[in-house]
Amino acid sequence: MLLRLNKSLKLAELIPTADCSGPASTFVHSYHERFSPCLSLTMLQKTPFRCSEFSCRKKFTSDSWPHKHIKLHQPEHLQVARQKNLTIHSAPRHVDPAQRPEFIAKKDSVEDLDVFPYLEQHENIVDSESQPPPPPLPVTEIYSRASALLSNHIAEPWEREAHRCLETTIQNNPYFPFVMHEKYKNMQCGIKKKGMKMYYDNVLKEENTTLHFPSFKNGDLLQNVLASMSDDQALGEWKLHTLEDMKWNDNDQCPIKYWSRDIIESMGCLMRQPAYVKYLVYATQNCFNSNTPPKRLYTEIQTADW
Amino acid sequence: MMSDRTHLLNFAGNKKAWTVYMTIGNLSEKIRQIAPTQIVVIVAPLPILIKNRNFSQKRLEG
Repeated sequence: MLLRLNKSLKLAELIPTADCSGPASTFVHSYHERFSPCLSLTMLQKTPFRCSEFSCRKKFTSDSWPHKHIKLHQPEHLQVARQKNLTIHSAPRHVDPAQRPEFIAKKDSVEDLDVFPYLEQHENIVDSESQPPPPPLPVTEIYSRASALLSNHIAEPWEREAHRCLETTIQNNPYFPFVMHEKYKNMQCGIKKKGMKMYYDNVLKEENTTLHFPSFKNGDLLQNVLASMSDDQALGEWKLHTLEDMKWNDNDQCPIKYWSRDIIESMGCLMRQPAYVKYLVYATQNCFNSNTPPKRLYTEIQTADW
Repeated sequence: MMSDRTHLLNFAGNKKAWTVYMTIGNLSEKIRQIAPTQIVVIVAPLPILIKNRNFSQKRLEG
């Protein structure tokens, strides 16, 4: 902003010299240089500022657009500015030309900057750095045994073999699951001409390849597939139960019927899922909400005493 | 194990049920709350008994 207001002022004059004979070290914040384009006063008033963020479509027409922009996208910068007692200038302030003395670099020295109020000086950065550091973030302590990877112990051997077979087939034949390059090329031409649906309906069904995907038109079909999965991955079928002793009410004498799954089977299905192997924990752990002082973490799971 | 009342039907008697869900406690909360993980399994939709409208009248009369 200093450079924009006075073109005659050079940045080298503001920097203290090596023998400390120059002016006191000043800290000029660079928010405006970083976030604002170099526009003149008239340009700022006329053209609205479009936010540089990709997801943000806002247009800031007022002079305080950098403040709004930083509040939206960089709120942590505001905290740093408050901690270091810095001020962020939104836009060049309007000063009447009659009240404003012009700064001439040749005549006026840099020590006389107090005369020019629109060239605001800031506090020394050394004083602001002496403030105590912010408190540490909350940390959850987990035992080392709990965080150990258990995939080697839990992963089924058939799963490892399947992965190994797939890798070897891809290495040997880059056109897997097709046998030859010509067949792969013919299939690609067939996809382009017939379309994907024709390809799945006609070609893959005839070839009996493994790339046949079932289409789930409703929830029942999906439930049937889940109930009849192979390799002990099934969730368990629904079972109908009747409570003949109980009735709906005096008017409705029908026995109460309800559907349920076997709890142990469904729990086993959840425990066997290879997708959760990385995250499952089989050891006790003490969870803390904060590190200093240590406080216990109370959630819907962590409720009992240790 | 948890349960919550669920609205099943609107135009056929406004049927509601208490569905019983089940998850694993060994998983951390962050992973369990992700929607597409499908870590929550419906165990049973328990039906809600319909109140007898004449029951309160009979009780008052009796």
